Amino acid sequence: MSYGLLIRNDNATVLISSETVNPVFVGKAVLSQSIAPIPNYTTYWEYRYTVSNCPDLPLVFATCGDGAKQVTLGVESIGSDQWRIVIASTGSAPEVYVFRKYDAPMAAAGDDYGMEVYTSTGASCFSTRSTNKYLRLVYSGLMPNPQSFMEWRSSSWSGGWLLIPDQGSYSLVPGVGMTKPIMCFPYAGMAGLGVVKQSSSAYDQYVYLMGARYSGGTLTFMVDAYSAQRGLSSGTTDIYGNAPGFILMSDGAFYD
Amino acid sequence: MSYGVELRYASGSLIFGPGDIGTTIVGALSAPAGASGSLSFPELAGVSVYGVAIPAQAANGWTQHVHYVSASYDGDGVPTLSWTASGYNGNMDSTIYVIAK
Repeated sequence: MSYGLLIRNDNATVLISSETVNPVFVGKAVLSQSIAPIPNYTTYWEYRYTVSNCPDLPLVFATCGDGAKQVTLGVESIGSDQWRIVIASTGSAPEVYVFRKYDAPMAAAGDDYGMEVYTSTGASCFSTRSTNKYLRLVYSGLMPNPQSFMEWRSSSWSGGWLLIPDQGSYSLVPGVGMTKPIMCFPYAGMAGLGVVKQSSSAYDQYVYLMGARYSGGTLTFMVDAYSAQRGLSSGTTDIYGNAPGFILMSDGAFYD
Repeated sequence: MSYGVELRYASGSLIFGPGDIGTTIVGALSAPAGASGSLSFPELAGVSVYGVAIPAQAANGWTQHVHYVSASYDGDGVPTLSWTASGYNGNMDSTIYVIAK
């Protein structure tokens, strides 16, 4: 940048910039429905949440039970500033923290102290008078690319769904103490329930769940795969070239 | 603290501490189902970016997801974010939050 304001912390990441905005906390989503087990996915429960007063696409963070596998399946607009958030987890219903982008002044009383940053268009992009807490990250990590994993195929399989768990797992150790870790699970490269890969020649159907689990301070990226219908050969290696994604961590204690 | 940035609200609670990791949003992009795209951010020369792809969820449970969100940088450090979105059952568009790091 050749003008404006850019504040980086000692880890060289951007804290405040006149070219960007910071995510702010909207509130905790409310659990509205638990579906157990998810049909054909017997180890996962599907949890549905709703959040209101969120005019922007929600950026979802969630707690994760110790050892549980979890993935955010998606968000759906269900009304004015209202969203449904769907999470699949092998554990109990997580607590869900919702953030959105800060895009308008949220000034509190008093304009003679603090700091306010404006973009070149004159819009406020950061203010210490914000009435919504800003997202504080304590860890961000690049997940490794699974590259490929073995699909289960059998010419004798005639239907139904089989779980092929832990096709790949890669440990990341954040190395920071947190009171209540909350994670923005990887979206990039993620396949969710209902996403079916079809091969017209073999008429195979697969569902991939790519998410994370957090246990004992260690974060593990995981891939579960399901096979729906029989294929033409067994033990076929599938190159599922999902790109590495970021996983973000914060501390729910900041917002409780 | 001996270095870094510490910002506090008027209430005295911490906004950012020296050990925090910054994550600021550049903007949101629509990723049409089945399409690829890329966008450069010359105003962010020298700043790393990445994309958080947020899948769209339909009422019937189908999910639209995004593959291949990656960033590259030219010789001047100008970042470009590229993505490919898969489309299934309804061609729902996903959204990518572009985040500066």
